[in-house]
Amino acid sequence: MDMSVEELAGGAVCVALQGRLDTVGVDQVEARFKDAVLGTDRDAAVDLGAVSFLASMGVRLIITTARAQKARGRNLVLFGAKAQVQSTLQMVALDQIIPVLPDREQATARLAH
Amino acid sequence: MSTPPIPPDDDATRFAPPEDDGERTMIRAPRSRITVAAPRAGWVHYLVFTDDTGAVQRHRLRPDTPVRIGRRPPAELVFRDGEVSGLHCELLLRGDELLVSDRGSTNGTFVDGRRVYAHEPVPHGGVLQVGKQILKHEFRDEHELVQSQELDRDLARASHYVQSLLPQPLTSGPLRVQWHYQPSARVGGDAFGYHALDEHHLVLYLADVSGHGVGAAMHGVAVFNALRQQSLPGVDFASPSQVLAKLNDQFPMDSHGGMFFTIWYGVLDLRTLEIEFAAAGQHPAYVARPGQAALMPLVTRNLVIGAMPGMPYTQARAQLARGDRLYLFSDGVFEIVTREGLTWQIDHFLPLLGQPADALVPGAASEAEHLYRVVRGLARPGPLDDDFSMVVAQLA
Repeated sequence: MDMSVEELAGGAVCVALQGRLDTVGVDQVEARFKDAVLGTDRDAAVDLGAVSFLASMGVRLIITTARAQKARGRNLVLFGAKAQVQSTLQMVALDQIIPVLPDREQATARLAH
Repeated sequence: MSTPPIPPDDDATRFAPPEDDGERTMIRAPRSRITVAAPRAGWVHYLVFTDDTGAVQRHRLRPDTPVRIGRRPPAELVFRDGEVSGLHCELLLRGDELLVSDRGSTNGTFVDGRRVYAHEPVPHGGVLQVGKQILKHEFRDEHELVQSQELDRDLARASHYVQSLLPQPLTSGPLRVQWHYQPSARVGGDAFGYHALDEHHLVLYLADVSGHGVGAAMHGVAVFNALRQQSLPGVDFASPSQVLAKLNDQFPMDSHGGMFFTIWYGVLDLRTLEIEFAAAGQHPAYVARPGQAALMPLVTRNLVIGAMPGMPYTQARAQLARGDRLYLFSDGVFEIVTREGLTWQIDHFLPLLGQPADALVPGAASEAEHLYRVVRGLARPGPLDDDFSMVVAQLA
């Protein structure tokens, strides 16, 4: 599991995750991921385009981070999930509490509002 | 190809620690093809594997003492696995290097996926595959191991406790229910059950707590107890949406170690055969009907339980018929990696459901156990990654 960080147009932080977001993957990336999102006072977008598998521990990481963002008045959105990961997001109904968008452009636009 | 056994070291004292014969050890050079690291005090070599019962076993390897693996004695490690030859391979620890030689096995010996033949090293942390058996080479501090084993015992106790709470199969009456539960080595948080609400209504449910370990198992037990003892205050247990909303109030992840869970909960009216159900974060339960190839999914889309206070939960209704089979299962049933390296999704698994009752694999006591054996046979060797919980309910 790996990750990279960049900035979206508009200033939000964009964290791109790569690999399997399962128990092992979360162990490898959790501290860096939370630091990247919560270590700066900005909105955040998570690029799931290179995530091949999303397990419950990955869902947990996303939920806890999104809630921490919300608690301090910041937003977090997800985008770019491929079919299998999108199917998991649908099943756990994560879109009921976190915006799930198809691509970077829509994520950027959503955070600009 | 038959390979001679690894010959005993022609001078074992070369590897003896200095206190045994320090001078000789210092002045004689080791043979060139084997690099011998200095022994680390208190560190021990083990082969770690899962036995027939699913329990983790650890076999200590001793220097210059061959260990044979096969399907029957005189092998020191015996696996009753049809893919293991009578005498399959032999291991020998030389200094701190573990060497393996295939003994002319039919199906071969593999180290980290590569077929090996004679006197080849198994690195620390390396995986030896013999038939369907996976054996890991561990080299670790003995004291650290004791702590690790204590954790393993805690996991085993948690697993036994969960199993002790599971209901008995229902073998008579209008609904026959059987199940198969196989906890993973790390123990997940699966919990399932069924019971009568009154003379006309029967409840079935399956919950799956995020994560693994004792914490997840105990959280699963708390949820399980709330459902089987009907101890959620002010809830109509015949209303799936009410039950899920109350569980969401009672088990917020903030105050439960960051754990959430998914659940499927259904209430069957035994007079009308209508089932009302609600799922939260979980894949569907499926109904197989005699004479129909297509499975009927029973699902509602709701947020996982515990993620956000005050969420509404929806429920739905379906009409069942006599002869229908309802399959309720955890994601550990289908989230496997096959022997070919394919990561399964639920669609890979569904064709296994609804098979004729006489098509069970030999020795399977129930369709639930049959499904476990089939999945186990398709999955890569070694323990499954997650708990396997499968409930099969058939309307008589």
